[in-house]
This record gives sequence, structure tokens and C-alpha cells, in this order.
Amino acid sequence: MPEKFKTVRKGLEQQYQDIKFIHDSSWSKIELEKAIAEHRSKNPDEAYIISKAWIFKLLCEKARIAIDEGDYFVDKLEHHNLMIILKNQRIRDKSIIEFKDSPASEPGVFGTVVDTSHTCPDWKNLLKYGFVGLRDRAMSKTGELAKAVSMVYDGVIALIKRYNEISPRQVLINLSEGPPQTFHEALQVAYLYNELQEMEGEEIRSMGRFDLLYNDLYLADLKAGRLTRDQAKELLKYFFIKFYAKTLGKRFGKPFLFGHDVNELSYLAFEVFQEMHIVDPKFHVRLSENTDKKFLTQVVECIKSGCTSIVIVNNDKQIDMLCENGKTREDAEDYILIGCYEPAVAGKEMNWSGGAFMNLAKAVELVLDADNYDSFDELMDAYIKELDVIFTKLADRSRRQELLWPEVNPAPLLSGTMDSCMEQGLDVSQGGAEYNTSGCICAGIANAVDSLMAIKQLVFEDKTCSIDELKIALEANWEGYEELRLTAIKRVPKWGNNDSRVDSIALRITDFLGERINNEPNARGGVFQAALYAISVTAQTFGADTGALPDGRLAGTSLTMNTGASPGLDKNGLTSLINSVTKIDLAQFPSGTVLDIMLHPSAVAGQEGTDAIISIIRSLFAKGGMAIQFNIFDADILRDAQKNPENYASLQVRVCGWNVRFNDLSIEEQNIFVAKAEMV
Amino acid sequence: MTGFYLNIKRFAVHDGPGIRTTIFLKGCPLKCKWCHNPESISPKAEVGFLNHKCIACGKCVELCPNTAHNFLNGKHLFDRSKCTQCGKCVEVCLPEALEYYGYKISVDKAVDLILEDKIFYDNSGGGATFSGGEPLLQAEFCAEVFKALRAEKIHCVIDTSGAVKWKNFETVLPYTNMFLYDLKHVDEKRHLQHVGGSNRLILENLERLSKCNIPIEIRIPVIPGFNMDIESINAIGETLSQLSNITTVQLLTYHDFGRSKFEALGKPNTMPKVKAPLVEQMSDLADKLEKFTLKIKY
Ligand code: SF4
Ligand code: SF4
Repeated sequence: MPEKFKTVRKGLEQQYQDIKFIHDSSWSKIELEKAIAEHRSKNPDEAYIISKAWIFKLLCEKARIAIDEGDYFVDKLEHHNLMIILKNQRIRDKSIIEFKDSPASEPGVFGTVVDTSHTCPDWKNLLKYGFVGLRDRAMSKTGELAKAVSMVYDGVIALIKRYNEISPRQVLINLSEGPPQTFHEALQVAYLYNELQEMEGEEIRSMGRFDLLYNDLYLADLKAGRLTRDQAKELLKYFFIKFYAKTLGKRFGKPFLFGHDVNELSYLAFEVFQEMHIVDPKFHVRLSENTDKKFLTQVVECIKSGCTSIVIVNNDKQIDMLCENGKTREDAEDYILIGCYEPAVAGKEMNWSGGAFMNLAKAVELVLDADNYDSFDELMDAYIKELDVIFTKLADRSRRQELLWPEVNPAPLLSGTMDSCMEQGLDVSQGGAEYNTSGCICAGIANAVDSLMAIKQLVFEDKTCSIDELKIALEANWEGYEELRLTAIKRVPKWGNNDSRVDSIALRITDFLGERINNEPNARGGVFQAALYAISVTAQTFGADTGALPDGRLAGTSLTMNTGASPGLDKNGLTSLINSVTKIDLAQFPSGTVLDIMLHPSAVAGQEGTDAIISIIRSLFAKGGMAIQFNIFDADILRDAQKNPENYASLQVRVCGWNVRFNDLSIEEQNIFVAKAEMV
Repeated sequence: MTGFYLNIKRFAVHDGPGIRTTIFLKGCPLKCKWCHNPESISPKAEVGFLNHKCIACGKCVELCPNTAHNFLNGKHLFDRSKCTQCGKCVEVCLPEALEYYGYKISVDKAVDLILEDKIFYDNSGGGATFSGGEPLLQAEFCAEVFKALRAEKIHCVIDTSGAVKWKNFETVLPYTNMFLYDLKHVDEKRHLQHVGGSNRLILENLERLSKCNIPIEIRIPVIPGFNMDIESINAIGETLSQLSNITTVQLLTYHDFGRSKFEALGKPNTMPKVKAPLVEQMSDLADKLEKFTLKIKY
């Protein structure tokens, strides 16, 4: 199969647009819906998990399928999102009743949801048992869950047989009889499972520790002469492109985890990733002190070439943190990242990490609105109290969301992979996983800290304005108060510059959050875990409902993402940013933190640049940093910098041996850097 | 003792090995036409004014004790001859149209500031660099800071134009791990014309320094019409090939960027308006220099 991929890449990218499903004796949407409605009216008392399993199996057996003869994998089933629609309906219906008197979310302040979008099956079991083995294990047990699990895996096996009838393949025959025995078969299991679990209604947000899971099969194939290295690359390209084809880069990417001990497959996968140059899937790396430097160099080269989605995590510190938070060391060592940055034990944890959010910046607004204060200490105490009030409400609502889960979306396919669920006969939605944690994402730290610092300095220290004047200015969204706003932006120290005046405020907040949130019981027998980051959706949604803030931010605009300084305000540079952020005891945030680093390609060019990035990662981790991701400025970002210079005040580019602020260049000069970035 | 500096740059990755903190000291004996940091030349404090950032709020006019700022027919005039660099106007200018160049820093403060990033130096083999301007005009300050840093095992670099008395080198030599040494031209006439000074001292110092058993990286700004021709490059190569301890030669590609800085200082823009050398031209020069058994970076 040499290099066929290149010629068919375009088509593969479009493989989920206008799929040509086969219209044979299989069923149309109307027929499927009719059968489902009939089944449910005939069995009104059936446990919901069984109904769901029945629907799942029906779709596998009856919905239309499609196969691309040129593809190495089969995966297409016309399920019309019926199970997801059903889930959403049930969530809506049950929520209306549950949250009638106490809303699940307060706009801008906090939000809670039934989190079905942060799950990861036990990939090890899937590869060890295969679909047949998981079905058989369930059949050997009794109870509702076991019944539901054997039904859904029966469905999967039936589906594989249907594919094989249309397009006979040894891979499919083998998988309909037992566990995967080759690299190709294992990838087929992974992708098909991914599709079917998402059909069931839970998003998979980790494909597991890829190099660890698949390397043995890959090496065995090589050794037996079943596969060459080039063929494996080709297979991987067909495999990875599916994740991109699914989202076209417009939704969350699918995370794959690598390291910290690397092997042949780690290198191979990164080589393929860099050659493909795609935004989805996402590759994450566990980095320990012993991780091969050669591998780290390959990862950094990949980042420099524009693969900026790579998150690198501090392996040893993550493990320690998980141990401190109730995991056995053995389990902690087998952690993965579910979603963006959230560590969880592979195959054993349902971490509900996207179930609850709170807005640290909005709390400043609420505190200012509530009262007048005679001193900054008084105001700061009130702010901390406000956070407590918000979290107390959030925890209550989030627990109630958890209790809805078994009712709205039991997950037999997912539960069937997990030992603990099968042993206890409990679905993941009922707390069947070994660890059942709940995340609380704390967003907007930079805005909160900078705002509090601005109040401290402008109102209480310099007396530039009174607290009432400040409130009036905020009320007016700074209109007519541009001077005060500029003073707040330019004359007040900012989070992320290693300045203890402002960093101490951050520490007070984070210490409180860690203390208050972690170990608060949730409703599935586990505990809440704090997270300190905000992905762009969170930052924007919360921002939309947050008024003007004392840090100079205008009403309705996005909050600052993640853990670092506000855009352009880390004027003391990268090392100071790291020095600030690592003052926080980041292990207080077991549901994740991340530091974003922005760099212009010219600033990290050549071997020196690669070495510098590696040293930055190593230094951050030595100081207790947990996770890092790099944003190498591409042309689009630089164009944005031309339009919104204030967001990029700290951006430097390199000119003839000198670093120059991008903003100080003339438009024509800037354009040259845009063009340079385009060439990368 | 205090130093007089222009700018402090952390996470500097091109001013010597590893990740470094570079302190740019103010004052330079040369006047290179292509200078990218003209605000580093004068040994005195200066106030820069960028007209396009001015929102005409009038605050500077109000505050200046010497009426250096004025508006005439809506145009902001800044009379530098009246300015005593008190800095009041810069403080109130929120749009940052006014900028202050030149601050004092004590030895202790400089040392503390540099030590903040120690872990980054340790992980990258980096350290501290004094650049400029010409740092060796403040050789004693550099030496004091380096002395304290060496006690903390921090790698210390001087980035010099070489255009200072040899005694200034001697002051820093015991505490310096490496020199970055600018070499623009070996032809004295050309040098005089474009750099505003003779190169005799520079070449002499370089020769002496090369006998001090300390690594030297040569830096050559490649300027079309000045030193890009074969004879100039060969002459440089020839000179360097006679010297020891030259670890590498770094070629810096000229761009006429940053012209606004001349304007900000009210100085005539002397940057040559020439096209930046192409990558191929740079690699060609590197090849030529390599013939003199030099290790080239560009
Ligand atoms: S203070 Fe600044 S913005 Fe205001 S008039 Fe003076 S230079 Fe212009
Ligand atoms: S620095 Fe002082 S003297 Fe100079 S222009 Fe500004 S206010 Fe006037």
C-alpha cells in the first residue's frame, strides 16, 4: 500500500459528507423511529438502560451502512443521531422539573450540566477482550447492566458481520470471533468503538495511551512480516484522517496520549502526525525526566512546524497529584488526559470534568455591586466569601445533575469496558467506575486578579479614584473614562510578571479554591476537583455575561483563557510568566491547569530555538508546572495582532540580532513578518 | 555603584548560549548608520516621542516644567533642547507616545533580577549578558554584577563593539565566560565612513582578547553596499583566521526595520535604504567564510 494516501487524501477528508449509504433491506429513518416508538410503548416499564441497549442493537442490526472499498477501516452507520436526540430530549425534560426552583446555571456566574462529553473507555480491555470477549464477559453475569452490555456488544458483532457481508475482509471475520490480533485489527476496534460509543451518546475525549496500547501489536506485525513500517504509516494516516474528517477541525479534537516511556510507535505516530499536518486528532505528551530527549526534540520540532495543539504534561507531578487525591500509585501511574488537560486514571475513572464551571472574574463584579468597602482587605474578604457562595450553589446543582445521569443517559457500551462496573453491576452513570470525580472549572483567574489589583492600587493606595467613581466608570462600560481605563491597564502591575504585589492576590484566591473545592463530596461517591483554566468557549460565554471590569476589560468581551496573563500583558516575558504561575501550588487543581505560551517563529528559530523551548518546558516542570501548550504565531494571529495591537503588546520579533516589539514596526514591516509566518 | 540601562530582556535566546537575561546598557562610542537601537547611543537619558501614538490630550504640555511640549496649529511639537529628562511627561502619557530611555540600577538589584531566572539558565546552559549600547563603557558595573553572579555559578557574557580602551576589557575579564564581539569591517576607511569611528582599536582589542583563552563569538551585521562584497568578506575571513579562540561567526541579516525609533528620538534616519540580503546570499557568504576554517551561523 505505498503512498496511496496522498492521492486520496482529499476524498478521505470529506468521507463523512454525503455518505452513500446502501439502500438494501436495511431501514430508513422512519422505519427505525417507528420500531423504537413501538418498542417503548409496548414496554413502558422497561428499565431505561435496557431500552437504550435495545435501540443500540436495533441500529446496529437495521440501520443502513456504507463502506468505502478503498478504506482500510469500516465505520459508517446511518444512525441519524437518534440516541443523541433522545438523550438531549430527556436531559431537557428532566432538567425542567429538577431545576424549576433553583436554576442549574446563573448566566456569567456559574454553570452546571450533565457531562456526557468527558469519557474514556477502558481501551486496554477493548484490545484484550475484543467485542466478543466483552459480550461474553457480560453474558456470564446477571443483572440489568450485564444484560444491557451483552445486548449492545451483540449489536456490535452483528454490525461487523453486516460489514463483512458487503465487503468481506479477514480483519472483520477475526473481530467477529475474538480480540484483535494485529495492528490493523486493533485500529479497526478503536475507530469503530469510537463511532459507536458516540452514537450511544457519550463523547470520547481520550483515545488512551496510544504508544503503550498498540506498540506490541505493531512490533509483532513487523516481526512476522505482516506489515512494513511504511505500511503502518499508511494505515495510521487512514486512521487519523478520520478524526479530522469527522470535525473538519471545527470541534474539539480527539486526544491521543504518548509517553512518558516512548517506543517505536511513539516516533512513528509523531512522524505521521507531522507529515499530515492536521489539527485533529490532538497529540498530548507525558513528559518525565527520563523521557528520551530525541523524542522530546521530535515533539518540539513538530510544535515549531505549527502543530500547536500539542499539550505536554509533567508526568511525575501529575502522578503525585493524583496520589494526593485518593488514587493508588499504580492507578495514578496509568493516568491519561480526558478532554483538554484533565488527568484521570485510564479505564477506571469517570471524571465528569466538564460538569461545572465558575467565573472568578464575575465575582469581582458582584462584590463591587453588593457593597462599599473601607479597605482592600475588607473587599478581598468579601470576594472570597462570594466565591464560597458561588461554589456552594454550584456543588448543589452539579450533584443534582449527576443524579439525573442514570435517568437520561446510561451508557452500557462504555460501562461494558470497565472492570469495576461489571463487577459491581453498576453503570458508569450510577458511579460504577472505580473513581468517580467531578470537575469544577475555575475560569478567568487573570481578569479576577488584575481587577482586584486595580481596585487595590487605584482606589485604596494611590486614590486615583474613589470606589464610587470606579463603579460609575464600570457601569458606563468605561465610556467617558478612557483615562482611568488606561491607567488601570498601563499603570497597575499585572498577573504573570513575577510581581509579588499582584501575585499574592492570585495565591490567596487559588489557595482558597483548592481548600474549598477539593474533597467536597459529589453525588456518585466521589469528590469535586478544582481546575484552573478556561477554554475559549468558556471564556467567551462567561465573558458575554460579565460587565466591564476594573482591569480595563470591556463588558461582554471574552475573559482571558487558561491560567496565564491577559493577552499582551506579560510584559516581563516568558520566564517571568512562568515564575508567576508556578507560585501557585498547581497540585491544588487536580482537574487540570495549563499554561499557554505564545511565540513568534523567528524568536525560536533553529536549533537554539528548539533547545530554548525544551529548556522552558523543563524549567516549568521543575518549578511545579503541570501542563504547557505552545502557540507559535501563524499568519492569522499576526494579522489579528495588526488589528488589535493592545492584545499583543508583549509580542516580540527578531530583527538583525535584535528583538523588536511587533507593535513598533510599521505596517509594511509587520507585513513581512506575516509573510514569514505564512511560509512556515 | 549603579549601571545605566535601556532595557532588560528575559528569555533572550540569541545573546549567547541557552536562555539568558540580557541587560542593554546605554551609551555607545560608535554611530553605526544602521543602528537598530539608536536610543542606546547617547550615554544620557532621553525622551522619545512617537507622533502616531499621541492622542493630543495635552497633559504633557500642562506638566512639563520647561515648556518643552507645545501644540502649534494642532501639531504636537517637542523641543528636545528644553527637555531636562525629568520624566514627568512620560509618566502621564498613557497612550505611551512618550517613552523614557535610560534608568539607573544598582548592582544588587541587577543581580537579584538576574537570579530570578536561575532555573532557566541551569536547564539551558544559559546565563546573563550585558549588551548595549556598549556595555564596556560601564565595565566596572559589569564586573561587579558578574562577580556576584559567578559566585552563583551563572554564565556571564559581554556583547561588545570592541571600541573601548583595553583596560575596560581587563576589568571584566576575570568574571566573564564568553564574549560576543561585533566586527563590521576590517577596512579602516569604510569603517570610518559607516560606523563613525576607526576600527583600529577594535581590531587591536580583538587580537589581544583572542589571546586570553576565552571563547569569542564574532557577530557580523551583513549590510548590502558596506560589507557584503567578496573583498570585504574575504578580508574579514582572513583576519579572523589568524586569531585563536574564535568559536563561531554569526552573520546577522540586515533589515531596515525599526526606522520609527530614529523619528522618536528626533534624529535623522541614517538607516541605509537597501534590500535585505536574501537567504541564498547569506548562505553564499557563509560558504566563503567557512573556507577560512571558521564555524558560521546565520
Ligand atoms: S501626554 Fe502623550 S498623548 Fe497626551 S499630548 Fe502628550 S504625548 Fe500626546
Ligand atoms: S521629561 Fe520633563 S523636561 Fe522633558 S519634556 Fe518631559 S516633562 Fe518636560
